[in-house]
Amino acid sequence: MEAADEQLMLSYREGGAAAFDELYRRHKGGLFRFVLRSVRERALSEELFQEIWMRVIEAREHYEPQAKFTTWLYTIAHNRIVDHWRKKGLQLVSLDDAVDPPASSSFDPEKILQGKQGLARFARALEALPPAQREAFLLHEEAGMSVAEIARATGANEEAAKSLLRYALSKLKEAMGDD
Amino acid sequence: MTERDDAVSRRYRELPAEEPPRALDEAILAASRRAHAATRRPAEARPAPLVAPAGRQRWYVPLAAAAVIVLAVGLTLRVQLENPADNNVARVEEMPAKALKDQARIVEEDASRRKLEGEAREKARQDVLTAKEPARERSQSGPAPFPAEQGARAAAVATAPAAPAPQADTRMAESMMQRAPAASAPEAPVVAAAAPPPPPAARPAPAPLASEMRAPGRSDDALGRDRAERQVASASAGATAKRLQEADETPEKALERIAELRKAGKHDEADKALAEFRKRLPDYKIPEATRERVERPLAR
Repeated sequence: MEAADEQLMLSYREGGAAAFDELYRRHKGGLFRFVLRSVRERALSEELFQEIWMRVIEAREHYEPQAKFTTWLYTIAHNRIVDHWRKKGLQLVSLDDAVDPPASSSFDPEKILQGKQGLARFARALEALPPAQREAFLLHEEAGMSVAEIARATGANEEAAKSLLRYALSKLKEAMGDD
Repeated sequence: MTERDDAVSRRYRELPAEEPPRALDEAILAASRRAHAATRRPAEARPAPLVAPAGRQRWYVPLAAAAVIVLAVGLTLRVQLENPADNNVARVEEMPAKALKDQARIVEEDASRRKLEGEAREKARQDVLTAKEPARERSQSGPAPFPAEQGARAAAVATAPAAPAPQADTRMAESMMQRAPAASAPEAPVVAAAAPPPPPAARPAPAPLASEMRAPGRSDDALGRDRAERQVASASAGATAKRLQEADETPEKALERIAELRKAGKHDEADKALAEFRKRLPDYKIPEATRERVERPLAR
């Protein structure tokens, strides 16, 4: 039976260097994809990915298992990505605003996915999601988070997180429905 | 989640499973190990004690430190207490100079005293001569001098050696003082042994030096050195006093003394004294009347 992530993190906090290797091995893929598909730029995603893990390393002495390790890890990732967007003058759409689909946006899954099939359309639909919805979906898929955990990691309330996830799934399903 | 949600999840899993590059993995893991090593280093870097202090042993270091401090303070105090001894040594080394200064002072006092004594004798002699002059004029053959006069003359002769000027004495004392620091202590007894003891009548035993009286803790060597040097100085004090007396004489007094000698028939002594006078005061013009009295009368 594998040690829980929280146990590994506690072990790493107490000086077990190997525990970090195991945690990294377990979460590197999901976190990297979360970052990559959030910023949609590989070089930038690698830079942010490294910074997120460095913050994990730096924060190890203050780690307390008050929540799942995954929630803690992706909270760090979320904050780092938000910082990135702020630095670039962009802003994540607020969760409340993001709940309602844009009335007359250029986002039109049917147009985007029109003429395309399969996975490519799905990928494009994912990229076309509003950042907050995409983030909620990625947290659900890559980190396996529940709505409550998404809300906690992103600092939103559960209803907003639930709506974000629902809208994201709905749009993606629509893209899939064209298959 | 619904079945349609599972379908979305399945489709999502079909997307390429992007992974961080291997170099990035290694960089992050290396950073983790560096941070881990940096955290543990301070504790590991602390050397373990060779012997774990326990029980009495834990007092060893404080006691050793206290002992070192006490020893250091003790040595410091001891050195400070020994410094006065060093000062005493320095004082002892300086003693020849002090003793010589004292000797110079004694010589001067002795000369003054001699001078006063000489003046008193001279006065007494003059009184005697004044009283005996009619008798002497009556006896043209020149009788033997009056005993008192004879004693006074003897004293005058004794106090009239061919002596250098008093300044010479002072210079001698000063030069001795200058040489004194260089003189080694063991040489003093040798000098003392070589110097003849002064005649008791010529000079009274010198009073103890004030510096000697003020320094009760002085060593025997220092006292012996002082005594020896005082003896050396006192040996020459008699002659020096005579020279001083003569040096203090005015030319008129000296000529008067020579005239007295001449009158007493001591022509050799008078000649000698006159020669010394001329040697001492070559440019002194002796008055005609006095010259007749001090010069040897021409043989008829």
